[in-house]
Amino acid sequence: MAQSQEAAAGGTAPAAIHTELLERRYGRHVALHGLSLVVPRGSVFGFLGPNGAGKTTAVKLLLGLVRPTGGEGMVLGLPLGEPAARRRIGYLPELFRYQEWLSGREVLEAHAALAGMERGRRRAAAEEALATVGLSGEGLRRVGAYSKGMQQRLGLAVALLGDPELVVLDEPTSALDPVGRHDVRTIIQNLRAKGTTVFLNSHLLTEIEAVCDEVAVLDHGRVIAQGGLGSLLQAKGVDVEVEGVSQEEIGRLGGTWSAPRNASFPELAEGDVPELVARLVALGGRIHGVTRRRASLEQRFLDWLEVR
Amino acid sequence: MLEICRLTVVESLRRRLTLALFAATLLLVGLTGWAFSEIGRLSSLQGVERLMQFSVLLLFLMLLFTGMLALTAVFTAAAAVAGELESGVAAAILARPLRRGAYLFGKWLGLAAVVGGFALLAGAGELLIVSRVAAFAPPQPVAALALITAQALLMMTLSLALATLLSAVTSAIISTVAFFLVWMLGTVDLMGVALKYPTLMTVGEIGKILLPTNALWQAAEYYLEPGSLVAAAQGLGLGGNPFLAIGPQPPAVLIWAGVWGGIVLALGIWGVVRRQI
Repeated sequence: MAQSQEAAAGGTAPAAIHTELLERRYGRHVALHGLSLVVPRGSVFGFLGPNGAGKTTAVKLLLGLVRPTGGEGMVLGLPLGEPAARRRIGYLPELFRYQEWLSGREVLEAHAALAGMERGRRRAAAEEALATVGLSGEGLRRVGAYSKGMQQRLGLAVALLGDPELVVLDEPTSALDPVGRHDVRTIIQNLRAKGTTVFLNSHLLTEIEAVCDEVAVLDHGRVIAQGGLGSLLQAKGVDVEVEGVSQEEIGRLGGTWSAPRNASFPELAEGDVPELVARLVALGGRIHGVTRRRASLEQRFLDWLEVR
Repeated sequence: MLEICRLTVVESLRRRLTLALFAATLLLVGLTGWAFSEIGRLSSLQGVERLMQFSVLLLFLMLLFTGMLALTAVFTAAAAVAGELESGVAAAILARPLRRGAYLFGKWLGLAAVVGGFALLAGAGELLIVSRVAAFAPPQPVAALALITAQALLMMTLSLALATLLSAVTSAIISTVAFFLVWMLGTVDLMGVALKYPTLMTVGEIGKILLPTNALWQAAEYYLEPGSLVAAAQGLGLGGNPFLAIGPQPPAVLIWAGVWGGIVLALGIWGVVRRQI
Protein backbone atom coordinates (compact mmCIF):
# COMPACT_ATOMS: atom_id res chain seq x y z
CA MET A 1 0.00 0.00 0.00
CA ALA A 2 2.87 2.36 0.84
CA GLN A 3 4.38 1.81 -2.60
CA SER A 4 1.17 2.57 -4.43
CA GLN A 5 0.79 5.65 -2.31
CA GLU A 6 4.16 6.93 -3.40
CA ALA A 7 3.36 6.08 -6.98
CA ALA A 8 0.13 7.97 -6.71
CA ALA A 9 1.94 11.04 -5.58
CA GLY A 10 4.85 10.77 -8.00
CA GLY A 11 7.13 9.13 -5.43
CA THR A 12 7.61 12.26 -3.37
CA ALA A 13 5.01 12.29 -0.63
CA PRO A 14 2.16 10.02 0.31
CA ALA A 15 -1.24 10.83 -1.13
CA ALA A 16 -3.51 12.93 1.06
CA ILE A 17 -5.95 10.04 1.23
CA HIS A 18 -5.40 6.48 0.18
CA THR A 19 -7.85 3.69 0.91
CA GLU A 20 -7.97 0.09 -0.20
CA LEU A 21 -11.17 -1.92 -0.11
CA LEU A 22 -12.46 0.09 2.81
CA GLU A 23 -15.71 -1.38 4.03
CA ARG A 24 -18.28 -0.58 6.66
CA ARG A 25 -21.13 -2.91 7.52
CA TYR A 26 -23.96 -2.36 9.98
CA GLY A 27 -25.21 -5.86 10.57
CA ARG A 28 -26.35 -7.10 7.18
CA HIS A 29 -26.44 -3.65 5.65
CA VAL A 30 -23.28 -2.67 3.77
CA ALA A 31 -22.96 1.11 4.04
CA LEU A 32 -19.67 1.21 2.16
CA HIS A 33 -18.45 -1.54 -0.10
CA GLY A 34 -14.73 -1.82 -0.84
CA LEU A 35 -13.82 1.83 -1.27
CA SER A 36 -10.46 2.26 -2.98
CA LEU A 37 -9.45 5.86 -3.45
CA VAL A 38 -6.33 7.88 -4.03
CA VAL A 39 -6.65 11.60 -3.44
CA PRO A 40 -3.48 13.42 -4.55
CA ARG A 41 -2.10 16.16 -2.36
CA GLY A 42 -3.14 19.64 -3.34
CA SER A 43 -6.15 18.48 -5.34
CA VAL A 44 -9.79 19.36 -4.93
CA PHE A 45 -11.47 15.96 -4.88
CA GLY A 46 -15.19 15.66 -5.37
CA PHE A 47 -16.97 12.77 -3.78
CA LEU A 48 -20.44 12.56 -5.16
CA GLY A 49 -23.38 10.29 -5.16
CA PRO A 50 -27.10 10.24 -4.50
CA ASN A 51 -28.54 10.42 -0.99
CA GLY A 52 -27.75 7.31 1.01
CA ALA A 53 -24.87 6.30 -1.27
CA GLY A 54 -22.45 6.01 1.67
CA LYS A 55 -20.59 9.32 1.26
CA THR A 56 -20.89 10.46 4.85
CA THR A 57 -19.95 6.98 6.11
CA ALA A 58 -16.81 7.19 3.98
CA VAL A 59 -15.97 10.62 5.39
CA LYS A 60 -16.45 9.40 8.95
CA LEU A 61 -14.21 6.43 8.26
CA LEU A 62 -11.50 8.75 6.96
CA LEU A 63 -11.72 10.83 10.13
CA GLY A 64 -11.78 7.86 12.48
CA LEU A 65 -15.28 8.68 13.74
CA VAL A 66 -16.43 5.28 12.51
CA ARG A 67 -14.25 2.17 12.44
CA PRO A 68 -14.01 0.12 9.24
CA THR A 69 -15.21 -3.48 9.22
CA GLY A 70 -12.83 -4.24 6.37
CA GLY A 71 -10.01 -2.82 4.28
CA GLU A 72 -7.50 -0.20 5.29
CA GLY A 73 -6.58 3.39 4.67
CA MET A 74 -4.10 6.15 5.26
CA VAL A 75 -4.75 9.86 5.67
CA LEU A 76 -1.81 12.24 5.35
CA GLY A 77 0.48 9.22 5.58
CA LEU A 78 -0.98 7.92 8.84
CA PRO A 79 -3.46 5.12 9.52
CA LEU A 80 -7.14 6.00 9.71
CA GLY A 81 -8.21 7.39 13.08
CA GLU A 82 -4.69 8.37 14.14
CA PRO A 83 -4.97 11.54 16.29
CA ALA A 84 -1.71 12.91 14.83
CA ALA A 85 -3.36 12.99 11.39
CA ARG A 86 -6.45 14.68 12.75
CA ARG A 87 -4.24 17.50 13.99
CA ARG A 88 -3.68 18.38 10.31
CA ILE A 89 -7.28 17.94 9.15
CA GLY A 90 -10.14 20.42 9.15
CA TYR A 91 -13.66 18.96 9.07
CA LEU A 92 -17.10 20.37 8.44
CA PRO A 93 -19.68 17.68 9.31
CA GLU A 94 -22.86 17.26 7.32
CA LEU A 95 -24.91 17.79 10.49
CA PHE A 96 -23.01 20.80 11.75
CA ARG A 97 -23.82 21.60 15.34
CA TYR A 98 -21.70 23.70 17.66
CA GLN A 99 -22.12 24.65 21.30
CA GLU A 100 -24.96 27.15 21.12
CA TRP A 101 -24.06 28.53 24.54
CA LEU A 102 -20.67 29.70 23.26
CA SER A 103 -19.98 32.66 20.98
CA GLY A 104 -18.72 31.94 17.49
CA ARG A 105 -15.24 33.07 18.46
CA GLU A 106 -15.28 30.90 21.59
CA VAL A 107 -16.20 27.84 19.49
CA LEU A 108 -13.21 28.52 17.28
CA GLU A 109 -10.89 29.12 20.22
CA ALA A 110 -12.05 25.86 21.81
CA HIS A 111 -11.34 23.99 18.56
CA ALA A 112 -7.97 25.70 18.31
CA ALA A 113 -7.18 24.44 21.82
CA LEU A 114 -8.36 20.92 20.95
CA ALA A 115 -6.22 21.00 17.81
CA GLY A 116 -3.19 21.75 19.99
CA MET A 117 -2.64 25.34 18.90
CA GLU A 118 -0.63 27.47 21.32
CA ARG A 119 -2.76 29.68 23.54
CA GLY A 120 -1.26 32.93 22.19
CA ARG A 121 -2.27 32.17 18.60
CA ARG A 122 -5.86 31.08 19.19
CA ARG A 123 -7.61 34.46 19.22
CA ALA A 124 -5.92 35.65 16.01
CA ALA A 125 -6.55 32.32 14.26
CA ALA A 126 -10.23 32.46 15.26
CA GLU A 127 -10.60 36.01 13.96
CA GLU A 128 -8.88 35.09 10.72
CA ALA A 129 -11.14 32.10 10.18
CA LEU A 130 -14.23 34.20 10.93
CA ALA A 131 -13.10 36.79 8.37
CA THR A 132 -12.48 34.09 5.75
CA VAL A 133 -16.05 32.83 5.96
CA GLY A 134 -17.63 36.26 6.13
CA LEU A 135 -18.50 36.29 9.81
CA SER A 136 -16.32 39.21 10.88
CA GLY A 137 -18.25 41.21 13.41
CA GLU A 138 -20.39 38.21 14.39
CA GLY A 139 -17.77 36.46 16.50
CA LEU A 140 -19.07 37.70 19.85
CA ARG A 141 -22.66 36.60 19.28
CA ARG A 142 -23.87 33.34 20.79
CA VAL A 143 -24.06 30.50 18.27
CA GLY A 144 -27.64 29.88 19.44
CA ALA A 145 -28.56 33.24 17.88
CA TYR A 146 -26.94 32.40 14.51
CA SER A 147 -29.06 31.53 11.48
CA LYS A 148 -28.60 28.09 9.95
CA GLY A 149 -26.48 29.58 7.17
CA MET A 150 -24.29 31.41 9.69
CA GLN A 151 -23.82 28.18 11.62
CA GLN A 152 -22.66 26.46 8.45
CA ARG A 153 -20.26 29.31 7.79
CA LEU A 154 -19.00 28.89 11.35
CA GLY A 155 -18.54 25.18 10.66
CA LEU A 156 -16.50 26.10 7.62
CA ALA A 157 -14.42 28.44 9.79
CA VAL A 158 -13.83 25.56 12.23
CA ALA A 159 -12.66 23.41 9.31
CA LEU A 160 -10.30 26.10 8.03
CA LEU A 161 -8.87 26.97 11.45
CA GLY A 162 -5.09 26.87 11.64
CA ASP A 163 -4.42 26.15 7.95
CA PRO A 164 -4.95 22.36 7.88
CA GLU A 165 -3.27 20.28 5.16
CA LEU A 166 -6.51 18.49 4.36
CA VAL A 167 -9.98 20.02 4.54
CA VAL A 168 -12.92 17.62 4.53
CA LEU A 169 -16.21 19.31 3.71
CA ASP A 170 -19.37 17.24 3.98
CA GLU A 171 -22.17 18.98 2.06
CA PRO A 172 -20.69 22.43 2.84
CA THR A 173 -23.41 24.49 1.16
CA SER A 174 -26.55 22.68 2.24
CA ALA A 175 -27.78 25.63 4.31
CA LEU A 176 -26.33 28.45 2.22
CA ASP A 177 -27.99 30.88 -0.17
CA PRO A 178 -26.50 31.48 -3.66
CA VAL A 179 -24.16 34.17 -2.31
CA GLY A 180 -22.95 31.76 0.36
CA ARG A 181 -22.42 29.03 -2.22
CA HIS A 182 -20.37 31.39 -4.34
CA ASP A 183 -18.31 32.32 -1.27
CA VAL A 184 -17.64 28.65 -0.55
CA ARG A 185 -16.49 28.14 -4.14
CA THR A 186 -14.08 31.05 -3.76
CA ILE A 187 -12.80 29.67 -0.46
CA ILE A 188 -12.17 26.26 -2.05
CA GLN A 189 -10.36 27.86 -4.99
CA ASN A 190 -8.19 29.81 -2.54
CA LEU A 191 -7.41 26.61 -0.66
CA ARG A 192 -6.34 24.97 -3.92
CA ALA A 193 -4.11 27.96 -4.67
CA LYS A 194 -2.43 27.46 -1.27
CA GLY A 195 -1.86 23.77 -1.99
CA THR A 196 -4.39 22.53 0.55
CA THR A 197 -6.11 19.26 -0.32
CA VAL A 198 -9.89 19.54 -0.29
CA PHE A 199 -12.16 16.51 -0.04
CA LEU A 200 -15.57 17.77 -1.04
CA ASN A 201 -18.48 15.52 -0.31
CA SER A 202 -21.59 16.68 -2.11
CA HIS A 203 -24.56 15.65 -4.17
CA LEU A 204 -24.70 19.11 -5.76
CA LEU A 205 -23.20 18.44 -9.17
CA THR A 206 -22.75 22.05 -10.21
CA GLU A 207 -20.73 22.63 -7.08
CA ILE A 208 -18.46 19.67 -7.84
CA GLU A 209 -18.15 20.62 -11.51
CA ALA A 210 -17.19 24.18 -10.65
CA VAL A 211 -14.29 23.44 -8.31
CA CYS A 212 -13.07 19.84 -8.48
CA ASP A 213 -10.07 18.40 -10.29
CA GLU A 214 -11.01 14.79 -9.71
CA VAL A 215 -14.14 12.99 -8.69
CA ALA A 216 -15.31 9.63 -7.45
CA VAL A 217 -18.94 8.66 -7.81
CA LEU A 218 -20.46 6.49 -5.16
CA ASP A 219 -23.72 4.60 -5.34
CA HIS A 220 -25.08 2.02 -2.92
CA GLY A 221 -21.75 1.92 -1.14
CA ARG A 222 -19.69 1.24 -4.30
CA VAL A 223 -17.52 3.50 -6.47
CA ILE A 224 -19.04 3.43 -9.94
CA ALA A 225 -16.78 6.00 -11.63
CA GLN A 226 -13.55 7.71 -10.72
CA GLY A 227 -11.02 9.96 -12.45
CA GLY A 228 -10.11 13.47 -13.59
CA LEU A 229 -13.13 15.63 -14.18
CA GLY A 230 -11.88 16.63 -17.67
CA SER A 231 -11.58 13.07 -18.93
CA LEU A 232 -14.81 11.92 -17.27
CA LEU A 233 -16.81 14.68 -18.91
CA GLN A 234 -15.20 14.34 -22.31
CA ALA A 235 -17.62 13.05 -24.94
CA LYS A 236 -17.19 11.76 -28.47
CA GLY A 237 -18.13 14.05 -31.35
CA VAL A 238 -17.76 17.60 -32.58
CA ASP A 239 -20.05 20.31 -33.85
CA VAL A 240 -18.79 22.30 -36.82
CA GLU A 241 -20.12 25.65 -37.95
CA VAL A 242 -19.56 25.47 -41.66
CA GLU A 243 -20.96 26.78 -44.98
CA GLY A 244 -20.34 25.88 -48.62
CA VAL A 245 -20.66 22.12 -48.15
CA SER A 246 -23.71 20.13 -49.22
CA GLN A 247 -25.83 17.96 -46.93
CA GLU A 248 -24.80 14.85 -48.93
CA GLU A 249 -21.10 15.61 -48.51
CA ILE A 250 -21.62 16.14 -44.76
CA GLY A 251 -23.46 12.82 -44.65
CA ARG A 252 -20.60 11.01 -46.44
CA LEU A 253 -18.24 12.32 -43.75
CA GLY A 254 -20.51 10.82 -41.05
CA GLY A 255 -22.27 14.01 -40.06
CA THR A 256 -25.74 15.50 -40.04
CA TRP A 257 -27.08 19.00 -40.20
CA SER A 258 -28.32 19.95 -36.76
CA ALA A 259 -29.10 23.58 -37.63
CA PRO A 260 -28.41 25.94 -40.54
CA ARG A 261 -24.60 26.11 -40.95
CA ASN A 262 -24.20 23.60 -38.08
CA ALA A 263 -23.02 20.08 -38.79
CA SER A 264 -22.78 17.45 -36.08
CA PHE A 265 -20.31 14.56 -36.14
CA PRO A 266 -21.42 12.53 -33.09
CA GLU A 267 -19.07 9.56 -33.56
CA LEU A 268 -15.91 11.49 -34.38
CA ALA A 269 -12.99 10.72 -32.11
CA GLU A 270 -10.92 13.58 -30.73
CA GLY A 271 -7.87 12.66 -32.82
CA ASP A 272 -9.81 12.80 -36.10
CA VAL A 273 -10.78 16.47 -35.79
CA PRO A 274 -7.85 17.89 -37.90
CA GLU A 275 -8.57 15.37 -40.69
CA LEU A 276 -12.27 16.35 -40.74
CA VAL A 277 -11.44 20.03 -40.89
CA ALA A 278 -8.97 19.42 -43.77
CA ARG A 279 -11.57 17.46 -45.77
CA LEU A 280 -14.26 20.11 -45.23
CA VAL A 281 -11.86 22.79 -46.44
CA ALA A 282 -10.91 20.63 -49.46
CA LEU A 283 -14.60 20.40 -50.33
CA GLY A 284 -14.75 24.19 -50.40
CA GLY A 285 -16.27 24.61 -46.98
CA ARG A 286 -15.71 27.78 -44.99
CA ILE A 287 -15.37 26.92 -41.30
CA HIS A 288 -16.50 29.39 -38.66
CA GLY A 289 -16.01 27.23 -35.60
CA VAL A 290 -15.33 23.74 -34.26
CA THR A 291 -16.66 22.71 -30.84
CA ARG A 292 -15.68 19.49 -29.10
CA ARG A 293 -18.55 18.02 -27.19
CA ARG A 294 -18.40 17.89 -23.38
CA ALA A 295 -21.08 16.19 -21.30
CA SER A 296 -22.45 17.97 -18.28
CA LEU A 297 -21.66 16.33 -14.98
CA GLU A 298 -25.37 15.91 -14.44
CA GLN A 299 -25.73 13.96 -17.70
CA ARG A 300 -22.70 11.85 -16.89
CA PHE A 301 -23.94 11.24 -13.39
CA LEU A 302 -27.29 9.98 -14.66
CA ASP A 303 -25.48 7.79 -17.24
CA TRP A 304 -23.32 6.23 -14.48
CA LEU A 305 -26.31 5.49 -12.31
CA GLU A 306 -28.11 3.88 -15.25
CA VAL A 307 -25.07 1.78 -16.13
CA ARG A 308 -25.06 0.42 -12.61
CA MET B 1 -8.95 16.77 28.26
CA LEU B 2 -8.69 19.94 30.35
CA GLU B 3 -10.34 21.90 27.53
CA ILE B 4 -13.30 19.50 27.61
CA CYS B 5 -13.44 19.90 31.39
CA ARG B 6 -13.41 23.68 31.00
CA LEU B 7 -16.13 23.59 28.35
CA THR B 8 -18.30 21.37 30.57
CA VAL B 9 -18.06 23.83 33.46
CA VAL B 10 -18.68 26.80 31.14
CA GLU B 11 -21.73 25.01 29.73
CA SER B 12 -23.21 24.56 33.21
CA LEU B 13 -22.59 28.25 33.89
CA ARG B 14 -24.03 29.47 30.59
CA ARG B 15 -27.03 27.19 30.72
CA ARG B 16 -27.71 28.57 34.20
CA LEU B 17 -27.38 25.13 35.76
CA THR B 18 -24.97 26.44 38.39
CA LEU B 19 -27.30 29.37 39.05
CA ALA B 20 -30.20 26.95 39.56
CA LEU B 21 -28.09 24.80 41.87
CA PHE B 22 -27.02 27.85 43.84
CA ALA B 23 -30.65 28.92 44.19
CA ALA B 24 -31.54 25.38 45.28
CA THR B 25 -28.77 25.55 47.89
CA LEU B 26 -30.12 28.81 49.32
CA LEU B 27 -33.64 27.39 49.42
CA LEU B 28 -32.53 24.17 51.01
CA VAL B 29 -30.41 25.87 53.66
CA GLY B 30 -33.13 28.43 54.38
CA LEU B 31 -35.85 25.80 54.80
CA THR B 32 -33.61 23.61 56.97
CA GLY B 33 -32.79 26.56 59.22
CA TRP B 34 -36.46 27.45 59.49
CA ALA B 35 -37.47 23.83 60.27
CA PHE B 36 -34.87 23.43 63.02
CA SER B 37 -35.66 26.83 64.46
CA GLU B 38 -39.41 26.05 64.62
CA ILE B 39 -38.94 22.59 66.10
CA GLY B 40 -36.46 23.92 68.65
CA ARG B 41 -39.01 26.57 69.63
CA LEU B 42 -42.06 24.31 69.76
CA SER B 43 -40.58 21.10 71.14
CA SER B 44 -40.69 20.51 74.86
CA LEU B 45 -38.16 17.66 74.74
CA GLN B 46 -34.89 18.03 76.62
CA GLY B 47 -31.57 16.22 77.03
CA VAL B 48 -31.08 12.95 75.15
CA GLU B 49 -34.61 13.02 73.75
CA ARG B 50 -34.02 16.44 72.23
CA LEU B 51 -30.69 15.23 70.85
CA MET B 52 -32.44 12.23 69.35
CA GLN B 53 -35.12 14.42 67.83
CA PHE B 54 -32.57 16.70 66.15
CA SER B 55 -30.46 13.79 65.03
CA VAL B 56 -33.36 12.00 63.34
CA LEU B 57 -34.57 15.22 61.74
CA LEU B 58 -31.09 15.99 60.40
CA LEU B 59 -30.69 12.46 59.05
CA PHE B 60 -34.09 12.66 57.38
CA LEU B 61 -33.23 15.99 55.72
CA MET B 62 -29.81 14.76 54.65
CA LEU B 63 -31.36 11.60 53.24
CA LEU B 64 -33.70 13.71 51.12
CA PHE B 65 -30.72 15.86 50.17
CA THR B 66 -28.78 12.82 48.92
CA GLY B 67 -31.81 11.83 46.83
CA MET B 68 -31.94 15.31 45.36
CA LEU B 69 -28.20 15.22 44.73
CA ALA B 70 -28.47 11.86 43.00
CA LEU B 71 -31.19 13.15 40.65
CA THR B 72 -29.17 16.30 39.92
CA ALA B 73 -26.05 14.25 39.19
CA VAL B 74 -27.87 11.74 37.02
CA PHE B 75 -29.73 14.21 34.82
CA THR B 76 -26.80 16.62 34.49
CA ALA B 77 -24.40 13.88 33.39
CA ALA B 78 -26.85 12.20 31.02
CA ALA B 79 -27.69 15.46 29.26
CA ALA B 80 -24.06 16.57 29.03
CA VAL B 81 -22.84 13.37 27.38
CA ALA B 82 -25.75 11.90 25.40
CA GLY B 83 -26.91 15.37 24.35
CA GLU B 84 -23.54 16.15 22.81
CA LEU B 85 -23.14 12.75 21.17
CA GLU B 86 -26.66 12.77 19.71
CA SER B 87 -26.76 16.37 18.54
CA GLY B 88 -23.59 16.16 16.47
CA VAL B 89 -21.55 18.58 18.59
CA ALA B 90 -19.30 15.65 19.54
CA ALA B 91 -18.61 14.79 15.87
CA ALA B 92 -16.72 18.05 15.34
CA ILE B 93 -14.91 17.70 18.69
CA LEU B 94 -13.89 14.06 18.22
CA ALA B 95 -12.56 14.81 14.75
CA ARG B 96 -9.86 16.75 16.58
CA PRO B 97 -6.69 15.03 17.84
CA LEU B 98 -8.37 14.01 21.06
CA ARG B 99 -8.62 10.46 22.39
CA ARG B 100 -12.16 9.48 23.25
CA GLY B 101 -11.07 8.38 26.70
CA ALA B 102 -9.69 11.87 27.31
CA TYR B 103 -12.94 13.36 26.03
CA LEU B 104 -15.05 11.37 28.48
CA PHE B 105 -12.66 11.86 31.38
CA GLY B 106 -12.67 15.60 30.67
CA LYS B 107 -16.48 15.51 30.81
CA TRP B 108 -16.30 13.56 34.07
CA LEU B 109 -13.93 16.09 35.62
CA GLY B 110 -16.08 19.06 34.62
CA LEU B 111 -19.28 17.42 35.84
CA ALA B 112 -17.56 16.33 39.05
CA ALA B 113 -16.58 19.95 39.69
CA VAL B 114 -20.19 21.11 39.24
CA VAL B 115 -21.96 18.23 41.03
CA GLY B 116 -19.30 17.85 43.72
CA GLY B 117 -19.23 21.61 44.27
CA PHE B 118 -23.00 21.67 44.70
CA ALA B 119 -22.91 18.68 47.07
CA LEU B 120 -20.21 20.22 49.24
CA LEU B 121 -21.64 23.74 49.26
CA ALA B 122 -25.24 22.77 49.94
CA GLY B 123 -24.28 20.02 52.40
CA ALA B 124 -21.97 22.33 54.34
CA GLY B 125 -24.67 25.00 54.32
CA GLU B 126 -27.15 22.52 55.78
CA LEU B 127 -24.85 21.46 58.60
CA LEU B 128 -23.78 25.04 59.36
CA ILE B 129 -27.32 26.37 59.58
CA VAL B 130 -28.34 23.49 61.84
CA SER B 131 -25.40 24.07 64.18
CA ARG B 132 -26.15 27.81 64.23
CA VAL B 133 -29.94 27.59 64.70
CA ALA B 134 -30.26 24.48 66.86
CA ALA B 135 -26.79 24.27 68.39
CA PHE B 136 -26.63 20.71 67.07
CA ALA B 137 -23.36 19.73 65.39
CA PRO B 138 -22.64 16.27 63.94
CA PRO B 139 -19.42 14.75 65.27
CA GLN B 140 -17.62 14.30 61.94
CA PRO B 141 -19.19 16.66 59.39
CA VAL B 142 -16.26 16.61 56.95
CA ALA B 143 -16.26 12.81 56.65
CA ALA B 144 -20.04 12.80 56.30
CA LEU B 145 -19.95 15.46 53.56
CA ALA B 146 -17.16 13.63 51.73
CA LEU B 147 -19.23 10.43 51.70
CA ILE B 148 -22.40 12.20 50.56
CA THR B 149 -20.42 13.89 47.77
CA ALA B 150 -18.88 10.55 46.81
CA GLN B 151 -22.37 9.09 46.56
CA ALA B 152 -23.41 11.87 44.16
CA LEU B 153 -20.24 11.31 42.11
CA LEU B 154 -20.97 7.60 41.83
CA MET B 155 -24.46 8.33 40.51
CA MET B 156 -22.99 10.88 38.09
CA THR B 157 -20.46 8.29 36.88
CA LEU B 158 -23.14 5.66 36.33
CA SER B 159 -25.33 8.03 34.32
CA LEU B 160 -22.35 9.31 32.33
CA ALA B 161 -21.29 5.78 31.42
CA LEU B 162 -24.80 4.79 30.33
CA ALA B 163 -25.14 7.99 28.29
CA THR B 164 -22.24 6.98 26.05
CA LEU B 165 -24.48 4.31 24.53
CA LEU B 166 -28.05 5.25 25.46
CA SER B 167 -30.16 8.38 25.12
CA ALA B 168 -30.12 11.00 27.88
CA VAL B 169 -33.60 10.14 29.11
CA THR B 170 -32.98 6.38 29.16
CA SER B 171 -29.64 6.78 30.96
CA ALA B 172 -31.13 9.09 33.57
CA ILE B 173 -34.14 6.86 34.18
CA ILE B 174 -32.07 3.68 34.50
CA SER B 175 -29.70 5.41 36.93
CA THR B 176 -32.56 6.83 38.99
CA VAL B 177 -34.32 3.48 39.19
CA ALA B 178 -31.04 1.81 40.20
CA PHE B 179 -30.49 4.41 42.93
CA PHE B 180 -33.89 3.93 44.52
CA LEU B 181 -33.80 0.16 44.05
CA VAL B 182 -30.53 -0.03 45.96
CA TRP B 183 -32.03 2.26 48.58
CA MET B 184 -34.86 -0.26 48.98
CA LEU B 185 -32.36 -3.12 49.13
CA GLY B 186 -30.55 -1.20 51.87
CA THR B 187 -33.79 -1.09 53.82
CA VAL B 188 -34.24 -4.83 53.25
CA ASP B 189 -30.72 -5.28 54.66
CA LEU B 190 -31.64 -3.28 57.77
CA MET B 191 -34.78 -5.36 58.19
CA GLY B 192 -32.61 -8.46 57.99
CA VAL B 193 -30.40 -7.06 60.76
CA ALA B 194 -33.42 -6.18 62.92
CA LEU B 195 -35.06 -9.57 62.39
CA LYS B 196 -31.73 -11.41 62.38
CA TYR B 197 -32.73 -12.97 59.06
CA PRO B 198 -29.61 -13.82 56.97
CA THR B 199 -31.36 -14.07 53.58
CA LEU B 200 -32.51 -10.46 53.77
CA MET B 201 -29.02 -9.38 54.81
CA THR B 202 -27.55 -11.23 51.83
CA VAL B 203 -29.94 -9.43 49.50
CA GLY B 204 -28.78 -6.14 51.04
CA GLU B 205 -25.12 -7.11 50.60
CA ILE B 206 -25.73 -7.86 46.92
CA GLY B 207 -27.27 -4.42 46.56
CA LYS B 208 -24.16 -2.84 48.10
CA ILE B 209 -21.96 -4.64 45.58
CA LEU B 210 -24.09 -3.77 42.57
CA LEU B 211 -24.32 -0.07 43.44
CA PRO B 212 -22.62 1.07 46.65
CA THR B 213 -24.44 4.40 46.97
CA ASN B 214 -26.65 3.33 49.88
CA ALA B 215 -23.63 1.90 51.66
CA LEU B 216 -21.99 5.32 51.37
CA TRP B 217 -25.12 6.92 52.81
CA GLN B 218 -25.08 4.53 55.76
CA ALA B 219 -21.42 5.38 56.31
CA ALA B 220 -22.21 9.11 56.21
CA GLU B 221 -25.16 8.57 58.55
CA TYR B 222 -22.89 7.19 61.27
CA TYR B 223 -20.70 10.32 61.10
CA LEU B 224 -23.74 12.57 61.41
CA GLU B 225 -25.01 10.99 64.64
CA PRO B 226 -23.95 12.21 68.10
CA GLY B 227 -21.55 9.74 69.74
CA SER B 228 -23.65 9.51 72.91
CA LEU B 229 -26.68 8.46 70.90
CA VAL B 230 -24.71 5.78 69.03
CA ALA B 231 -23.26 4.48 72.30
CA ALA B 232 -26.74 4.30 73.86
CA ALA B 233 -28.12 2.49 70.81
CA GLN B 234 -25.18 0.07 70.82
CA GLY B 235 -25.80 -0.59 74.53
CA LEU B 236 -29.44 -1.37 73.88
CA GLY B 237 -28.56 -3.52 70.88
CA LEU B 238 -30.66 -1.37 68.57
CA GLY B 239 -29.97 -1.97 64.91
CA GLY B 240 -31.79 -2.13 61.66
CA ASN B 241 -33.15 1.39 61.83
CA PRO B 242 -32.83 3.51 58.70
CA PHE B 243 -32.33 6.61 60.85
CA LEU B 244 -29.83 5.11 63.24
CA ALA B 245 -26.51 3.65 62.17
CA ILE B 246 -24.91 1.96 65.13
CA GLY B 247 -21.50 1.45 63.57
CA PRO B 248 -19.26 2.64 60.75
CA GLN B 249 -19.24 0.84 57.41
CA PRO B 250 -16.26 -1.49 57.04
CA PRO B 251 -13.33 0.00 55.04
CA ALA B 252 -13.87 -2.67 52.39
CA VAL B 253 -17.23 -1.07 51.54
CA LEU B 254 -15.60 2.33 51.00
CA ILE B 255 -12.76 0.82 48.99
CA TRP B 256 -15.27 -1.08 46.85
CA ALA B 257 -17.18 2.18 46.23
CA GLY B 258 -13.98 3.72 44.83
CA VAL B 259 -13.19 0.66 42.74
CA TRP B 260 -16.80 0.52 41.52
CA GLY B 261 -16.57 4.14 40.36
CA GLY B 262 -13.33 3.38 38.51
CA ILE B 263 -14.80 0.31 36.81
CA VAL B 264 -17.95 2.15 35.70
CA LEU B 265 -15.92 5.08 34.36
CA ALA B 266 -13.72 2.60 32.46
CA LEU B 267 -16.87 1.00 31.02
CA GLY B 268 -18.06 4.46 29.98
CA ILE B 269 -14.77 5.06 28.18
CA TRP B 270 -15.12 1.67 26.49
CA GLY B 271 -18.65 2.70 25.47
CA VAL B 272 -17.59 5.98 23.88
CA VAL B 273 -14.61 4.36 22.17
CA ARG B 274 -16.89 1.74 20.61
CA ARG B 275 -19.57 4.20 19.64
CA GLN B 276 -19.95 5.15 16.00
CA ILE B 277 -20.21 8.94 15.96
